[in-house]
Amino acid sequence: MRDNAVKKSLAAGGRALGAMAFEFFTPGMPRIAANAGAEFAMYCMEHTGAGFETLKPQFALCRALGVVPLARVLDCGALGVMVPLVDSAEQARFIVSCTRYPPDGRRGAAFGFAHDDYAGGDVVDKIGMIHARTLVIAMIETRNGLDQVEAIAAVPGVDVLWLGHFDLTNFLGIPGQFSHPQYPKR
Amino acid sequence: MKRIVAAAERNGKAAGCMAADEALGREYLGHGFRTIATGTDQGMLQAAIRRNLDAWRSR
Repeated sequence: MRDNAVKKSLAAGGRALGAMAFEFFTPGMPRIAANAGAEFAMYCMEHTGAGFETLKPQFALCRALGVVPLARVLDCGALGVMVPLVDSAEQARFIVSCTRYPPDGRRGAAFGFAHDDYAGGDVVDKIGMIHARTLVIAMIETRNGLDQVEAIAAVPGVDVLWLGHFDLTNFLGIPGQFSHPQYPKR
Repeated sequence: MKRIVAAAERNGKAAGCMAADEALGREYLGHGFRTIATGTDQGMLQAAIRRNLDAWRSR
């Protein structure tokens, strides 16, 4: 079954550089991202209204082209999730639990679909691989999230802490002021 | 920013963010962010169209 190159690179101390997709969900988009050298394509569902049926073919093309598809859905074939507005370790633990099958978590199971490339095989092996490859990104973009950042970082299964730059300024009461002294210092 | 990077690295995780332009991206990399999404699709298309039109208008 397919691995997650971004997760492997980050776990080994490396970097991952990719692109955000908000608007153009055409059949050519994953190829354009691949040709441009994107290691991942992050499909935003928070601000776009893009639905599962729109993104599923994008994820299929990304996987086929070696671009790691990331979004907020898993059984559609994304290899990782980005969750906005994470406020606490408790929330982070719940998010991780939604990406793991029992007894580790509470993800609902079905196999032979997009997330395992419609392949057969031993389901216990698949569960192990899916647990190992799924990338969980918690967005730190609220005052509470920032206050709790250390506890959120310590939650097993959280791979990346993502600075939500605009929302963080909103929640800090300095909307859009990225050069505000409070912003870089905190 | 420093707090997010420090908390991530102390726990063996990576920090990430979206960089609207190259200068910001470089700044984030300098702060220790290891996962960067560079630009947005609609933003880059708009910038490219504007650059193209500006070049034609200046002729």
